[in-house]
Amino acid sequence: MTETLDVELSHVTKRYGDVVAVDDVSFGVYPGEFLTLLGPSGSGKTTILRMVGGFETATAGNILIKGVPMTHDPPYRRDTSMVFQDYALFPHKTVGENVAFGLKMRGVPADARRRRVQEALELVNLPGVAHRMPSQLSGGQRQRVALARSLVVQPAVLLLDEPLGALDAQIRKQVQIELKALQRRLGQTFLYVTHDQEEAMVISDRIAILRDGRLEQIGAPQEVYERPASRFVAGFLGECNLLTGTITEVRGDTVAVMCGRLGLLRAPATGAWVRPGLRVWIGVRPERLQIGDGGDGANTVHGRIRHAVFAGTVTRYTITVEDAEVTAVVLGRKGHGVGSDVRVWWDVADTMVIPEAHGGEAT
Amino acid sequence: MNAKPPRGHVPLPVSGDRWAWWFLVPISVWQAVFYASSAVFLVVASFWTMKDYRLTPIWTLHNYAVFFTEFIYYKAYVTSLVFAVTTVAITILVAYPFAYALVFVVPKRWLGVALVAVIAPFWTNYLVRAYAWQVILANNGILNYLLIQARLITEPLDILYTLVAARIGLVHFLLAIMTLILYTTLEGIDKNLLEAAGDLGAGRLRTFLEVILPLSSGGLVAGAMFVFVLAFADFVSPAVLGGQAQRVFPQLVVDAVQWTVNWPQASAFAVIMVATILLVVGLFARWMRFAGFGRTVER
Amino acid sequence: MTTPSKPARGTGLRWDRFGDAVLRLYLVMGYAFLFAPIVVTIFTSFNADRFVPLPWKGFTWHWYEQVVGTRDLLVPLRNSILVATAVGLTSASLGFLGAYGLTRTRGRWQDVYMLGLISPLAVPWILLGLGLLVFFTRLGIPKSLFTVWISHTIFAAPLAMLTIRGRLLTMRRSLEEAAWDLGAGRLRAIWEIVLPQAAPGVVGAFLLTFTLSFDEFILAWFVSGFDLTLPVKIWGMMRSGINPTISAIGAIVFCLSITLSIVGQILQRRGAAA
Repeated sequence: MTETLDVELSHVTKRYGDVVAVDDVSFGVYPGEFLTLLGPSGSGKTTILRMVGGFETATAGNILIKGVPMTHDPPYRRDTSMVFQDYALFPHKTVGENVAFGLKMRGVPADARRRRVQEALELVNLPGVAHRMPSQLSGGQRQRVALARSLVVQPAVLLLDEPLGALDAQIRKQVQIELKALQRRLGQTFLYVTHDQEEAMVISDRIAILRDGRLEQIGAPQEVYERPASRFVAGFLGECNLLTGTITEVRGDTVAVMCGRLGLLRAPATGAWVRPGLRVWIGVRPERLQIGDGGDGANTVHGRIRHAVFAGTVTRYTITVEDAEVTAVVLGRKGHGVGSDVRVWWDVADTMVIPEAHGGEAT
Repeated sequence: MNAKPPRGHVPLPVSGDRWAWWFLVPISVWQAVFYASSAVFLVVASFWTMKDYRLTPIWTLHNYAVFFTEFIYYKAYVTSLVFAVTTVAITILVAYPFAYALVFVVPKRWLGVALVAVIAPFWTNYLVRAYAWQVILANNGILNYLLIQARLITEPLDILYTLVAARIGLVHFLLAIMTLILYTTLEGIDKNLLEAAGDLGAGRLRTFLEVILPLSSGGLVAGAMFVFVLAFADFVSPAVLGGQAQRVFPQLVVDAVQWTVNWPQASAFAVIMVATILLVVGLFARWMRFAGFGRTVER
Repeated sequence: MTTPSKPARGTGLRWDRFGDAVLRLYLVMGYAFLFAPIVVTIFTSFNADRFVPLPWKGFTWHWYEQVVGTRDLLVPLRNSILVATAVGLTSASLGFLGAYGLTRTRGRWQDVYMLGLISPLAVPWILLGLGLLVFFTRLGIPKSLFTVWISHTIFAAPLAMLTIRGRLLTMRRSLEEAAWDLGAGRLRAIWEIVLPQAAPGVVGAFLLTFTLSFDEFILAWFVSGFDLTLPVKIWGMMRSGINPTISAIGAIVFCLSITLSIVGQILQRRGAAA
């Protein structure tokens, strides 16, 4: 690799007594990249972030920041800066003093400090609040002050621990877009933690999905969404119909999978790992299922509608297909009644083959 | 078929900070040098001998032996125990209705003032308070004057310089502490439980006996233990108000230092006092666990 | 007002009202009992009659003049203020460091260690005093205000530690981490962030330990030697019989304590608001 990674984790493990919080995780963050650590509670994502920031020490493995090993260095010796989940604004200092704090610690003279604080606050669209106390600001404003306080020291990598978690849903959507735009404009490297898969999709250049302290998959949003490396990733990133089967044939870039009474289904061969005889999951997103005529007849099944719920823009159908149940989400209002027999089909390209056993490196 | 991410907050474990142990050094050194060593000195001295008014390392068990052989020491010990236990009992009986009234009768907006008023007597010196009780309880004191003026009695009552006076002074001291402990416990009882009891038709007395009293037993016992230690070791009230007729154990300790200058003797008495306190508190704790106290208090 | 039970029967309400009335009367009596000594103290401090408190024999400032006018009392007062200030400052410092250490460490021994540190609070002062008397004498340390300071700090420091610890536990851990993160070293972060956050607790601990030390008699009696503190001096005066000067001292101390408490409350409020 010619380019120096801003952050590199190699075989990092963190144990608390008998509990393994992070289990042999390795990945890198490229300069200027927006990388999101995504996972449910207890998946180890925050622990990884805190280890990069220096608030926790890895039990094993190495953490490099800008190519320099920093595994055991305290936070104040690291070129990282963290936006905390609760923002951690100093309540007894003004907004200006909060933002200036990092500069003061770095010995920046007072006049330069004032100028840079001003710039940082303008950057987050909060000019003119420098003299106020944090308690006088709204939640969204505090979040932006925390961001300014971390950005002003121009860290190698900005760490963000669910910074939007405390905001309500509507502001959240807007802030996501602003945050992404800001990151692009500054070319600042972001390492971001969230448990919200939608947020991760909207905001990230790449997503690292974690589960039980292990890295399940890392890749661009579309890649992890469309080619999940495990059943967990497929389900975590969005609703997914999953069927078990066995690969019977690999021909060119297509595989044929025998799915019990549903018969032979076809899917694109997504990796070198596919070979006949392997037990796999077949996954299809509900919005990719089609009801009615059409298709080339490759992936087609017949079933009976059990539930049909109209939810505004879309209708959700629950369809019994042989011994399985699938969910289809179709644009528009209800077209098929409960109990009616329907033909269900989907494109071969929309079919995901997922190894049954854990195979993080499958892609 | 749809895999959903598991939700529910798992508290993040936080590592200790090994560096932070250094901050415990100053207070630890202070307590090790002065507190722990003086405890050791006390125990050692209790086996030594006083010779020519100097503490001399001549080892003996005599200081403990006299406790069992000399009747006055033994008597003072029993007096002390009885005095402490009865004082604690009286304190509880007086403090409980007081705390109950604070929680259930005093309006919310007066509560702050009411609580401050409970500790206000502590704003003057314990000795001065004991002195004030002397003024009140003396033969020509305020209480007797008022009673005679009211024609309730003709001859002044002899209260001062008895253990009754000592008890009054001590209960006054302990009342505030016990009331605050009980207040905290009673205040923590879920009001919904009481309403539920009321809805089920329980009157105030039954609600008290069957809900409030069991739920407050933990605080009651903890408070009783705390107050017992203070009562058993109190010197000021018995010395100022109790007079010389019935002497309690702490008076013997002070006398052994002040008059006979027999520190080993005083130390031996001190060790016996510590042993007694540990024994009583231990038995209390044991009995509490046995009777299932404390379990009900957890909310 | 909380009424614990809703009346289920017709008579219930009447009994509850009766119960409330009884409890109110009880409260009044209880407060009368609690306040009796302080009222008597203030009353007798102005009474012209030296030996008999009642009936009232006329108003006088004489007993206060006795307090202010004689070196006999001013020196012990000065001694007590000196010791109490030293004890308050030492305890608040040791207590803050200890509380910081306790809230930042983890481990199996942490609870045990804390119990050990606060165990002096469970030891009766009379026994602590005797132990210290033996200790100081054996080591040849002369009894003085210095030894009173050491002795009082033994129980005051753990108390200060508990008070400040309570305050530190309410402080978000992320605040200090944010300071580290922005480049502040350990001590700098404590100075800039932790100490200002803990300030109300530290001030409260100072006031509390100051008051306790100022009032403490039996420990001081054992270890003060010829340097009388105010309570030891009062003790001596009490042995020579009824003397309204004691009441005057009590009234003065009472007023000082009220002032200190109010100041403390205001400081705490201001700290809580920030």
